[in-house]
Amino acid sequence: MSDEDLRICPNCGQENAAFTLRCIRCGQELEGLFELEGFDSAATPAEEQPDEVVTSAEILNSLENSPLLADADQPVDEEPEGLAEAHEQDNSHLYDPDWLERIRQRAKEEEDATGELAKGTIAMDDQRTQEGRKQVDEAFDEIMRRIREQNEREKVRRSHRIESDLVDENGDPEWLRRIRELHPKQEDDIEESKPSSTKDDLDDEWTEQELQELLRREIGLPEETSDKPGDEITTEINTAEPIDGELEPGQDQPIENSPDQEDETTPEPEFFHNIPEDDQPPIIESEKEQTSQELDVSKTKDAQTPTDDDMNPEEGSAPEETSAEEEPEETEEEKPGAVDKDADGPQETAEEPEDEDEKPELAEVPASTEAVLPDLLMLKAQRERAKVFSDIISQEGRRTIAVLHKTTSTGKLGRLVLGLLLILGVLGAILIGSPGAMELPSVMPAAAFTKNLEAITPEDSVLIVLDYLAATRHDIEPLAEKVLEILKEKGNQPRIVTSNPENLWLAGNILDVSQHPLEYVPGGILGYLASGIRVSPSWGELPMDQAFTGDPDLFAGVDQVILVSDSADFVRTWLEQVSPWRTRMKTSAITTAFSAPILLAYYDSGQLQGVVAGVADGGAFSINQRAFQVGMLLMTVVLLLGMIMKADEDAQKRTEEPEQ
Amino acid sequence: MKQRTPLVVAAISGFVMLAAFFFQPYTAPYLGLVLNWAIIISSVALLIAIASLLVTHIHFIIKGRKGFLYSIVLVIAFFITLGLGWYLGVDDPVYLAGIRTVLMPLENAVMALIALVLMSAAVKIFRVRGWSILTVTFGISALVFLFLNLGFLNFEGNPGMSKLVAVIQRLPVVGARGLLIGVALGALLMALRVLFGQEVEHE
Repeated sequence: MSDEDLRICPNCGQENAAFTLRCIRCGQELEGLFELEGFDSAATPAEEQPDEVVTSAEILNSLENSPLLADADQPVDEEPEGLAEAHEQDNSHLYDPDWLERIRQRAKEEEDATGELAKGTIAMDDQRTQEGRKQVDEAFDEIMRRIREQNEREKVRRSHRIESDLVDENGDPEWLRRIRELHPKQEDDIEESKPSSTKDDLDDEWTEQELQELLRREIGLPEETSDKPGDEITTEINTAEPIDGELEPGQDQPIENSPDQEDETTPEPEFFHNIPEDDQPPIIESEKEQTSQELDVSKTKDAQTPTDDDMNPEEGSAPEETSAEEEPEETEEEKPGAVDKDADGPQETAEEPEDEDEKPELAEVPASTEAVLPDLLMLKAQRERAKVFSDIISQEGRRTIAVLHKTTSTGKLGRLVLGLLLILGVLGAILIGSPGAMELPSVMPAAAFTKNLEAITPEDSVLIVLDYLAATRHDIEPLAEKVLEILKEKGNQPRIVTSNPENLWLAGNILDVSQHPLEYVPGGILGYLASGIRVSPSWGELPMDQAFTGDPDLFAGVDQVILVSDSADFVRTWLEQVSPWRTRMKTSAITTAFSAPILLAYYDSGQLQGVVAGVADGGAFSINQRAFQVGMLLMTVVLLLGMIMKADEDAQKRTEEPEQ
Repeated sequence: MKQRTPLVVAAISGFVMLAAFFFQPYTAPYLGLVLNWAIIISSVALLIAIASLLVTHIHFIIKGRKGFLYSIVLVIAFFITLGLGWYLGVDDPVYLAGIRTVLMPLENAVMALIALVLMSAAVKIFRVRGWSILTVTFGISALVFLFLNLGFLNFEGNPGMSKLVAVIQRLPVVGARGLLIGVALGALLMALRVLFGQEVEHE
């Protein structure tokens, strides 16, 4: 397939087959699918495009009435009057009669049936071409709409970026980055670096004008002359209105160039952006020549200079202004003659012949605040940033943001002392002095538990259910151990079960497994529930029966159930799910102090016969509570210390504030 | 249909179980049987979970993923425990004592660390959060209950103070009752949503 048979997508540039309706890459509808041979749409002036629209009926009519397509016997020259009028009408409607001439020529050569068919096909093709042109127009409008939307989004994004980029990831404010950009190296390499950097920065930012040009090239429309700025181009540049007088050139302000100047210096449309200072070296030369008086005046006038927000992006001269602004040094260095052309502008008064000598020298000047000051005074935003800079300098060495968590060596030491104090206190309480119980007020649930335990007789069947973790064993095991001792003293042989695998090895701490075998109930709380509702079915044995070494019916004849659990949920589920199936059982619980508040509600309702919670209730069983007591005391002291220290800090702050 | 089938099965199962609880004399054998099924299924699920855990860590070791040394420790510990349990039996005192020796210090150390962290938090809470309703309430309530549990105060000779202390000690129970009521209402609503297909967890 030759190149002529390929169709280039106007959207992405992909080469497609001639018969392809849509681009194989981007899906763009391909226009001009069936063009008439010799019909050069690119040669059509844009202004005449509306006149190109010729209805198919007219074309077919013209073809039928054409003397060339008439009978061969009829001489071509003998045109009837009606046909001549039709010709005139066609000529008035069709902008390019070349195709018609070709048809006529062809008709002369092919005056047979095949030629007639070809003529009809060509007429159809022409009709389709007209439709294709409509599609081109629609596609063009669509592309333009998309470009505008993209442009608007870019504008919004840039404005956000400007606001958010005050400080970069390195903590450098924007003004500092700009000053760094004034480094001499950049000045030296301006010819090479600046255009590339500008393009690099804007690689992903297609301006509307550029896209329009690209589109025109792709669809074959004639290029718009530079002296006709596109009305639809919406510039993104802050085009500050020039300040009258000599102050304008010294400032790094958008310079208003005439379209002619732009033509001379920038034949191609420039990339525009709304951060005029980022990608261009400032004009320092003129600034150095300015006197302090001028600077003062510039400050005054700068206050009247419209800011970014005040710029009117719809101004026709905006693109030209920006393009000229972005390339002043470039054009001057590359084209010395350009200086003469720019000499009539106000800026050139500051960049006259001395520029050549001053430029290297000025480029080496470090980015001092004084040198860059006029540049920073250009826009309101810049002035604000300069003010921030001066504030930062004035606040140097001071802390401006309060540090909430400052880890110091003193803090670490205090934490170490705190930990050591706790450990020493607990160790001292355990090792020094005789063990004893605290004189705590009697707790009703604990007293009820003790009373219930004392009521157990040797004949009563007691079931002890273990369900606790090793982490809480010190809060539970002393109590459970005491209970087992009391039962043993009474001569009662409780049945001990667990559904928690961890209790299989923890049980060795509280009982002699050889004398009190521990049974495992599979299934957790479901296992207890299945045992609770256990009714042997008539068809045989349940699977759970196989798991028990003893009687599969856990609750057969059980009078008392003692739940040893650190989980309030386990006890709650037991009381709500299992106990209702065995109403004659009395249930009591040994739990942790953490779970006690939840379970006390069940004690109040009578579902629990008694609750003993942790070492705090160990007084009922004469458990040594000294370590517990010391721990509580230390916690109290630490809490009080925290409150006192905070109050002290607040008092100090209050005394310091009036002084400041 | 593909989504409705499990929904319908779950709803029917829930209603059957609910009915079984209401008509106990007749449905108790079936209820027990269903519970046995549930236990067996959950046990198999536990085995699958263990196998999945093991396979995952073996995969980590083979791939040399970051932290695979911990996976090696896990796999070795798993096989040692499994082998010893198989060889000695799960009721063997030596086997149980070995596991207890490893398990108890670990969990106790974690609990002790929690105590230290709580102490540190008690010091910092006022400095970090400042004086607010939350911190002041926390501080006062913590101090009151710590004092009461210290055992230094004994109001047995003072009936008025004893009653006051008893009332204060009932405050946690009041809060717990509120929690329980909320939990019960939430569970009821959730159960109804599950039964009527409003809560579809498998989606």
